[in-house]
Amino acid sequence: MILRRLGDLALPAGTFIGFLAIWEILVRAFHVPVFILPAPSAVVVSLWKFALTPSSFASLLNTLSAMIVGFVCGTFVGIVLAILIFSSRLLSRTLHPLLLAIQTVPKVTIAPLLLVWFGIGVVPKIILITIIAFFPVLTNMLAGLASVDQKRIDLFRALGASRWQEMTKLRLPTSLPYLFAALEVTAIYSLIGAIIVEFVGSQGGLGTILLKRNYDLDIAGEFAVIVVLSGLGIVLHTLIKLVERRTVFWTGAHASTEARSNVPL
Amino acid sequence: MRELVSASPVIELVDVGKTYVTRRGEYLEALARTSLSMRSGEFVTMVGPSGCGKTTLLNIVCGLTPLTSGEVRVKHTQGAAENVEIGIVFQEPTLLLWRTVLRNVLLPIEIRKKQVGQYEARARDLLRTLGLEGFEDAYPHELSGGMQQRAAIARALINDPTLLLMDEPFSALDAFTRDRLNLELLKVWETSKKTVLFVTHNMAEAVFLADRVLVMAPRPGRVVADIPIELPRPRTADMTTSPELVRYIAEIRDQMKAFGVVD
Repeated sequence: MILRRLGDLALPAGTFIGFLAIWEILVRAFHVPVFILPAPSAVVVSLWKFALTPSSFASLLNTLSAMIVGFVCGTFVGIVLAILIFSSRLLSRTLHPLLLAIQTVPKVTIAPLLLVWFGIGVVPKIILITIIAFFPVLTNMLAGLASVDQKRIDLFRALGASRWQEMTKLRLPTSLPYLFAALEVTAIYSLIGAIIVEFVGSQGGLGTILLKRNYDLDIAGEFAVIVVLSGLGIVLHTLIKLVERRTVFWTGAHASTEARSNVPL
Repeated sequence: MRELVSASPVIELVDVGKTYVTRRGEYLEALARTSLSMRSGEFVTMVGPSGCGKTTLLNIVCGLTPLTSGEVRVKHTQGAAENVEIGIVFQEPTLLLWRTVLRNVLLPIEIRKKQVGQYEARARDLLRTLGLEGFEDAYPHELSGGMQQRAAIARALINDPTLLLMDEPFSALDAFTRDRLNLELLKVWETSKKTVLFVTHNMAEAVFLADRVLVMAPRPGRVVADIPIELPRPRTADMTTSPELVRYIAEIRDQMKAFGVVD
């Protein structure tokens, strides 16, 4: 079992290391200037310097905190909206089409507006991330709430359950796998949302560092930040997977539903 | 005293009928006007092919399907599921997968907003009677289909229901498990003396379990025969092949033949 797992890891890991090696060799062999494409070794040096600078952690924390607050807000808004839209025909007919329409707006375009309205700081980040994150949660939760099979609904009705009991004891637990499928997507979206706002204007955060290094033609440094960001993404994704396995233990790996990831950013 | 109690019908269906309107606006009679009464502690089975209104009748009794004519009187109160506890077992166990077996059994108590703690001992007792001792804290996906259905029966009994409705509860199980669960159901029934309405499409099962077999026919769904079963109690496994039982099955077949249900 463990051997097979190692074997499963060995192939992609080997490919990745091979790719880095070829990259390193080509850069050295053709004397590619470091401001065009740095060798992986130069990126590692930059990463090391980044890790040794105390202010890097402040930037990391800056981006991460906004991202987490926005992620939580977006998830909460998505769940509440899903419950409301599911429970009320009126809301389903008024609010739902409106929310769908809002989704056609590319979120990137709102970022400058949010800066005008809320100033440079953490607030516009949290708002943009909330706007980006709530939608996959909403659509997946709506699908999840509707996925309860008729026999279980019959059971609850026959037991005399109220609509609220049917929601909390039956529909919400049933839609948990759908929720987690959405969270996997929105975690990454939240990171993107934070970086977008930091690109447009911010006093700190990894996005700001990335832009500054780009202006300074510190390409190795830029790669270092990108590595940190993708590492962050992997950690968040893994965390959500871990929580999912402990929370939605009854489905196994097979039943996880794919979130719709075609939301325009 | 006992006689007096059991003589009063625990449930009475008077001229109950159900007609659906299809999308094209045609009327579809799922259940023709049916009258039926069950004594307290009686085990009644309904047997018939699909489409004969068995499930419709059951859903009317437990209040899931509004009826188009007639009325259901449960213990002389009007309306189906208002004040009287009714236990239901479906063909699928319909357990909640995120709850342990014990908490699944206690679900009806939670929904009725009663003190769950006061019923825990009873839930454990029921699970022991149904052979699930030691599985109280297991989750449904850790149990076999037969064990899940036992848990579903315990859940249906937790409220001490006046009436136990069973909709083909063992038809998804293999024949051996089904036979065993039938015997165990009878054991539980003999100690608790619940009134049971049991739907099946298996004639042998219908006869083996019942005090009375209602034979049903489709188009429109209706009860075409009401056959009292006078096999001695308690029923034992070797009765399943006894000539008396086979004779009853033949009688049911004859009734069905007369109504064109079987060839």
